[in-house]
Amino acid sequence: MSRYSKAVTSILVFYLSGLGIWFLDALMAGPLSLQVIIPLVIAVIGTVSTIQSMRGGMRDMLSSEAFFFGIYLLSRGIIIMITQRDLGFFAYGMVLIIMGPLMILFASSLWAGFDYNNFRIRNICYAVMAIAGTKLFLTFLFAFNHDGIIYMLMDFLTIIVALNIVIFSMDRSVSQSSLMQSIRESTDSMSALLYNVNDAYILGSGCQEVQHLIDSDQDGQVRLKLLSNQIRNRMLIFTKTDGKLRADLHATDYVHANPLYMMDVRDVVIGERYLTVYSHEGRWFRLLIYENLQEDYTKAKIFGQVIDFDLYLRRYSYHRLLKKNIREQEDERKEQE
Amino acid sequence: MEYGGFRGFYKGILDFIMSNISYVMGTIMILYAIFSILLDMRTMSPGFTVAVNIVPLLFGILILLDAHHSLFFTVGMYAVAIGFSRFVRYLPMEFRGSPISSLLGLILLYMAANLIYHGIRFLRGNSRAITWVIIGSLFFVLFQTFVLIAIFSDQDSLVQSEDIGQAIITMFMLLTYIALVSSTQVRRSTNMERLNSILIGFRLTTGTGSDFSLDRGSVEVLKDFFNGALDESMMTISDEGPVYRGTVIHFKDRFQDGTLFLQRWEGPDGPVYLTMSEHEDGSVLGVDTRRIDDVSESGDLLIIRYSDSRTGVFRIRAAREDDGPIVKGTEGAA
Repeated sequence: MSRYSKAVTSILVFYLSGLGIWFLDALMAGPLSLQVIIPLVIAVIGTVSTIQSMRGGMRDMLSSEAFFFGIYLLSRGIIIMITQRDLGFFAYGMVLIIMGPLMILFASSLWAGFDYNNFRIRNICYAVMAIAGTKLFLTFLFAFNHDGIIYMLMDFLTIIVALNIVIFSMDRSVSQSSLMQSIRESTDSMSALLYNVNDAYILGSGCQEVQHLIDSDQDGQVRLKLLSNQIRNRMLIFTKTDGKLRADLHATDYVHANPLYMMDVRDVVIGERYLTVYSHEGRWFRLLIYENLQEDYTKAKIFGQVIDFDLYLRRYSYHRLLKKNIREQEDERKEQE
Repeated sequence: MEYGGFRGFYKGILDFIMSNISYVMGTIMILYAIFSILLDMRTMSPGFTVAVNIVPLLFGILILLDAHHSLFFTVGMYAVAIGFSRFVRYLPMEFRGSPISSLLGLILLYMAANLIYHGIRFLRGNSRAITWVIIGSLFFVLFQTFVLIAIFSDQDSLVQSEDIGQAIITMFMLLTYIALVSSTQVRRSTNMERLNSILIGFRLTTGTGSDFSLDRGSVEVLKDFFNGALDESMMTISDEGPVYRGTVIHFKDRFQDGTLFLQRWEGPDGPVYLTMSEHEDGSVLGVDTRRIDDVSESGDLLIIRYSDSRTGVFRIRAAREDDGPIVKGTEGAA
């Protein structure tokens, strides 16, 4: 879906929901009362302003839409507080009066250039959806009559507008990681260096291959899978060129990934428990040696089958990514042809 | 019984329970399901009784069948089963016609759904902040207390008196769940703990910690090793590779322990290398090795000059900073 079609859809949803709320209000209070006119005015001005802001980009459009949604929430909250005497409505109005100005504040500051408030706007939308959803549910249970149905539809439209903002604020051009997510991504990339991993191992057969390469007079290469239950598997490559041995440890288990270490090997010591590789300038690394694959005891094994929920989910997303890449490559090839 | 013996006995019991936790939890789950079926059959339709209790029964069996006795699988299945069972059980509260009962039901449904979510996270081996899991579960327990109070004070519009057995069982199950998620293995699976482990590894390996310290004994070992005066019995002797002699000492960065590998290469007069690592055993990867040029003391600091012009500084830790037997007059000021 292109950014243009996303923007048009978002504006359309915003406008139609505004009209819908106006229409529902008009059913109860008559078409010309102040409380009915307000959502209509907000919907119309908001839509025009949002269309105008499309020139600036998705962020401007989003901030404009969120700004007018904030005004709507505030005005709706005030109207409810003035006109309703029911305690439930009163509480609902109070929440809207808090959420509205917050939304206005964050939307206007997003427009002014405070990027992170995109995330805050989304959080307020979640809160509005939760409170409107609860009210809708309670109305369904305890006030399922003519007025109740109209209120339910209004709540539903409020949820739709909030959801609309949430969905389109996740667009790649404007979305960003939460603070925690960002920290996670950075530290995950630090973990690629493996300094906190102490269960990395290779199989005994791999050690024999390395020994064979060292003893041999001919040049060659040995590719070993560096296995670990703490991390995903890596690739360790020993290459012998002109009698000199080099060790490359790769960031993933396929060869095209960036090498993490490249070491000119001075000595390889294969003991009973460890394989240790020394460089000329004092660097070294050590790996465990096992004859068999080490089972991951944090994962269940039922009837001989290891149950790895995380892997199933990752594999699903990996396959989707793989299919997408293949599709893109085929498209490129066709274009070249 | 002697104090030390009793302590060992108690630790043995706890170790036994933790190493057989999947059997314990699986059995508890199956017993819960059977007991619950017996209670529910008196008040509910057979179909609803099955719907509420089938998942705990099946999941209990699956936990027992797990050959790995995985704690994550146990905790995850346990949470999903209780959450699902509670969710189905509380669903009718929404339609009893009492506003307060419905509101109460809504909160309980949310908590049950939350429990299922926690369970799925555990099954993936990655839990949320344990504090929130415990707080959420404690709220659930408090609601059960509320249910019991309502029953004893004859608030029939809120709850039914037949719920008493279920409330007590649920409390027990949730308290067991809280105990389970407090175990070390589960606590260390949170995102924050994982990040923490990476950052600890980084600071210990790269030497960027704010308070690296060595005790007096380790300082002497380091100095003696560098000067070639360390007793042979305190070193490893290698015939293979470039390492002539090696030894290991431990340092601290506040409460975190790290390992220093000291290696002398190429004979008795060869260069000395220092490597900082988080682990002593197992694989050692990504570590930074530095060649030592000089070791000196300045006040309570040990200063190491490396051949690449960098300097490593370790504070010499006083004996009183380390935990151990408290005996008058033995700690000294150093």
